[in-house]
Amino acid sequence: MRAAMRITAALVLAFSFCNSALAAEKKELLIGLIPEENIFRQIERNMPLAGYICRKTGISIKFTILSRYGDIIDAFVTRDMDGAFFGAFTGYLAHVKLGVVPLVRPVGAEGGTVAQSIIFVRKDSGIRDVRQFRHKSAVFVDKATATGFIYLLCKLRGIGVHNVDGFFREYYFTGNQESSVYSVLDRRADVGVAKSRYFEKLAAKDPLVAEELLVIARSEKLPDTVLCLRKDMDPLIRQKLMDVLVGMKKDPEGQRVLHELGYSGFTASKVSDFDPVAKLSREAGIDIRTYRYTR
Amino acid sequence: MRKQLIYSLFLLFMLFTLGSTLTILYIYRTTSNLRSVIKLHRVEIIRQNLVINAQTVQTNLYTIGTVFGKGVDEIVQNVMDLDNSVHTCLGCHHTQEMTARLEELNNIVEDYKESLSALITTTANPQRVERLRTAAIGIGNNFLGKAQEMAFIADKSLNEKTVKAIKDINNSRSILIVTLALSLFIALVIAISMTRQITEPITELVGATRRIKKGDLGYVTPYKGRGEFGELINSFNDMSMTLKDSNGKIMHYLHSLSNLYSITLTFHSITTMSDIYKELSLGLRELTGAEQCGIMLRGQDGEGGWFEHMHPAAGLSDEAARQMRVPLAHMEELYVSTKRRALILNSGISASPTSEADRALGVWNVMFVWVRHKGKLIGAIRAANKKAGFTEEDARLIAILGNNFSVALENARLYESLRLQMKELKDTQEQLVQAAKLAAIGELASNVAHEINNPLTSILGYAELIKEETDTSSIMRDLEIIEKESLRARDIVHQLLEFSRKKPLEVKPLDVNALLMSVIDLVSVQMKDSRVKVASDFGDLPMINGDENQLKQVFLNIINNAVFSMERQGVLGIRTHCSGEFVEVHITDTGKGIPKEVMGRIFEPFFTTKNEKGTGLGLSISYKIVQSHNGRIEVESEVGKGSRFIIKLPAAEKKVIARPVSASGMPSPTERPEAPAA
Amino acid sequence: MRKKLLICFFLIVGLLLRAGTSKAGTVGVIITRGSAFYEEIHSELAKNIARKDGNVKFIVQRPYPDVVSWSNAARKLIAADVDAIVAYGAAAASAVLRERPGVPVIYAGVYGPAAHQLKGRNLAGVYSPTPIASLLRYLRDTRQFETLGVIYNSLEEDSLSQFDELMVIGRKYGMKVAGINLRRSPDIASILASVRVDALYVTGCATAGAAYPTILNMTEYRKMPMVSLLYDKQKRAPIMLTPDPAEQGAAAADLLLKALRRSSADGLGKVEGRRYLLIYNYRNSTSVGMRMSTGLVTDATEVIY
Repeated sequence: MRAAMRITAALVLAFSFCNSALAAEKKELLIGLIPEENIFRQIERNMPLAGYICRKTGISIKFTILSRYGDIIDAFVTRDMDGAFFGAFTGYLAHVKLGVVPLVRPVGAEGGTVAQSIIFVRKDSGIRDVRQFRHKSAVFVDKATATGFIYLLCKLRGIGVHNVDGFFREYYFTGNQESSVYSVLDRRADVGVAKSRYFEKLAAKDPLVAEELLVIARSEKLPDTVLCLRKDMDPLIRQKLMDVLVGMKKDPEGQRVLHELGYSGFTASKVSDFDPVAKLSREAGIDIRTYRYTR
Repeated sequence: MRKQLIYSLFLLFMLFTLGSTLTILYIYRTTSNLRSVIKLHRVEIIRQNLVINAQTVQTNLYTIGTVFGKGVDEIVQNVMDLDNSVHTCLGCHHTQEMTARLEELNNIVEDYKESLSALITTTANPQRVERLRTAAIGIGNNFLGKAQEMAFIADKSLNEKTVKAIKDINNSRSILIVTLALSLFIALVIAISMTRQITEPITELVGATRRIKKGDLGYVTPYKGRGEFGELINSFNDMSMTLKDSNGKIMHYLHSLSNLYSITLTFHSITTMSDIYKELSLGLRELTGAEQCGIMLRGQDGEGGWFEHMHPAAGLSDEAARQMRVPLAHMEELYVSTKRRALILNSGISASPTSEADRALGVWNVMFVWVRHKGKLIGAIRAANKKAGFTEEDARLIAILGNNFSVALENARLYESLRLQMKELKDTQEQLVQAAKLAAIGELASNVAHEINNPLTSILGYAELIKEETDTSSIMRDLEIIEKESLRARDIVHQLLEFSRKKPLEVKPLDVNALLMSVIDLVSVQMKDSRVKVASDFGDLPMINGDENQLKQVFLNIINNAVFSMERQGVLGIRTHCSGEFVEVHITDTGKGIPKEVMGRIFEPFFTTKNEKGTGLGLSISYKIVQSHNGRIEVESEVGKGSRFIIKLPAAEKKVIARPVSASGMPSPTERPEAPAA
Repeated sequence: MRKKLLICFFLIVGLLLRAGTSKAGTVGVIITRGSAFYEEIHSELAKNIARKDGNVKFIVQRPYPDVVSWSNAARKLIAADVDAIVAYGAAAASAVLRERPGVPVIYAGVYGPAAHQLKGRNLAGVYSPTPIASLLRYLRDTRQFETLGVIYNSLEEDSLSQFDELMVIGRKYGMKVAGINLRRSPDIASILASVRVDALYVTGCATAGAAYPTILNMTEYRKMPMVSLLYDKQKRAPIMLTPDPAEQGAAAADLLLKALRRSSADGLGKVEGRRYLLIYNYRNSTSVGMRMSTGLVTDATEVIY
């Protein structure tokens, strides 16, 4: 059936399996999902994970969509979330502001758990250096992404530019990685920033991306996605969740769920995973406590 | 008829089936339409939910920039509901157009989800966010527009379906009514038609049967039907025609037989040969229609014998018949060669035994039918010139006639012989009766002489007295006595003459009582001598028609026998009474009686128990006289006690004659002796 | 003194102002018949000229899209002794250049690669490196297809260049590309009726412009996804990508005024137009079975719902 049907069916299934668990825990965990693509498909894709966790731990999971990246911190608090899948910068932000604790990081199908930020231009633009960015048009993903914005700030700061306003002829935030790449490809912008994984994915799909775009800068490796739980979470539940998630790749049923998600497994995460982000933020001159990540 | 019946029932069945099918179809359609209407109503509810969801989402879109978070889940839920609604709609069966529209709607929902998703998740700059918002709103509006369009279509469809359902209901009702009415009407028509088709030929048949019963054989009904009744009618008409033909043949045969019978009857009632020949010839002509008919009979046997044509003959003059003769041997030869079967020559008359005469007489066809008697060929019936030609049937009829003819010929011969013998017998009988009468007169003569002697003695005495007397008055008185006695003698003589005279039967009304009294008077002297007393009892009797003298002879004979049987003493009982249409006279005696062994012979001529005193003709003649008066005579007797003769004579009229006063000296009824036992 | 100085100042300002405005002149214009895009650029050009200098007189030639017509039009304008010639589209510009007019030649509405082919003296113009690949990508995002039909006119260099480039991109994307060379507009119905393609890409040629209503009707009837580089005021194409005629017109007007002022276009160079009209007619796209693309929505300059 269609997506909605499947979602409904999965919800029913998950709830039917978790009735006893609910009675035992008397609470379900509300986990936020950072919207990455079509949120409806995203929920659908994550429902098997909720069911799996429920079946294995008896802990009921409810996924909710977080809207804009920058709202995550507010939403986490106001909606009394128990945890969320954060990006590198938002995870670090939440950790600093709310004290959330990293639990696991999903391992990509290709085996990676980290991402890089890249700065790219059209090959025929003649731009080969950050200094040539002046009076050009630029495209970013979002203010609260390390890979989609912070890294560029860091690079600009490297050449003594502290403010993007006035440096670029014009700039804008596309809100997603793909749009950022294509904006440059289609000459709507001269310079673009995106997460390397997305760029590579697009390059594999669209030969023009690889042929006509040129990556002129690449960041250090940053954590890709991190599942963080609130700091006051019951350690027992935390441990249960970690055990189940990390052990998924060894369990055939878990493998099927992972395949649905496009991951090869989960690996344990720790606070130090945010160190590259912290460093990047510092280099970009961002005070994480006062950084206005919303527009 | 059977076919029609089957077709009619089939038609009715088909009509019912058609009506039922149509009704079921309409009911099915109606229910289907109603189901569709219900479904459409449900769809309308889904659509309304859809629209409400879409509108909610649309509303949320305007606030999405202000209050995120909590609103997202609501939007997601609403969109999911929206998606569910569309999928629910899409899951149903629709027309191609509606499916296309729904698929378009589904695509729009997918687009809506996509745009919403982008709007919710985007972190782009405000212009882009606004563009996404506009896109989402635009798609949402587009969705709403499409939903409204579909609502309009659905509404139109709903309206159409509702109207159609109502129309179908009306149609089904109308069809049901029409079907029932039509079925009823057709059933009625079929029933009337079938009844008419059944009764009409039957009525026609009944009428025809009655007409045939009344003798209208060959009556053909004008009914022109088909099927079994048509066949029946045709068969009946054929039967009627066959009956008519058969009847015609029977009538023809009957006619022929009737002719044959009348001819045959005539044969047996006529006794002269010439009459037989004449009747035979005419009868043959009538039977066969031949111009010339007649009989050739065997003449003298032996060599030189001939078969000669008898005359008179039909269509032949006596002269021509006389000249037509065939040698006996030739005829015998033909008889044998034809194996005793008729010789029919419808052509080639040269083979005819009378060919020469035939030619002279212009004969063109001829037939000979052999006549046999006691196995011997005695003649041949000849018929010639029949326009239609002679047939075997003619031969059969003529053969029967021939047989009868041979019998009639024999009868005629026998009759002639009997007639001669009867004439001789009659003459003899007359002689005997006369002799008997004379004998009776002889017997009577002594009595008569005695009777006459008495008046004669008186007359002689008074004649002697007159001679001696002078007194005139005494003479006159004596003369009167003489006259009286003379008249008395004359009456006795007269009666005797009357009795003995041979006279033809003179029938006239008679009073039996008076007749009996005159007979008693006649034998009174004899009874006195025999000391026989008379006991009479005369009843009131009607007149009878009869010959007075002959009946007197009867009574006289019986009374004489009674007196004779009583010899010198006894009582003679005479009683008359009317019994039905007969006048009965009972004459009883107290004599010796008649023995049983002779009882059966007493009425035979010349049978007598009186030996030399009787002729044996008295009772025989009496019996015959009573019989000639259409009466009967019966006798009862017991030896030693007496006999009773009962004479029954038919009354002539109802008029009753008062019984006569008993004669003086006769015993009163109380004095009558007992009648002898039967 | 102050008065003298004031008079001198006004004189200088007046001279400067006079020098800033062009002298009155006659400008020959070649607009290939059937192209709404060129008409719109010219309209914008005229508006800009009128706004800046009302003394320019235009002699407009609207030749049919064939070589003879273009040359004929160029010759007529040269014969008319115009002060400058404005040619829209590479084909018209080439025809003028072939005639060596001896007056400034300004082109506009020329596709980037085709503009690089235009060489000659006294030549300046506005071109646009239209990202035709993006239109193809949008098409792929909104509807799957196997064979792409590309309508072009081999006589129009812009269109031919676009077709050549699409052939290259198509190969890269691994798709089948069928070229539909529309030399004559009336042939479009029979061509489209016989061609077996799953999607249509209309390049910027005047022949297709003249046959545009037929193309739109037939694609809509056949539920065939379609994208277009043709400018259409009514914006009926599901996805339309064209250089912004206003930008083109304004840029061309600047060049023309400068050329008229200097009586030469030499040194004015080529101006690259950076603005595009990406119009997403969502309504029409859904009616031919194309799905929405959020990228397109966010990238589009206008979305019609």
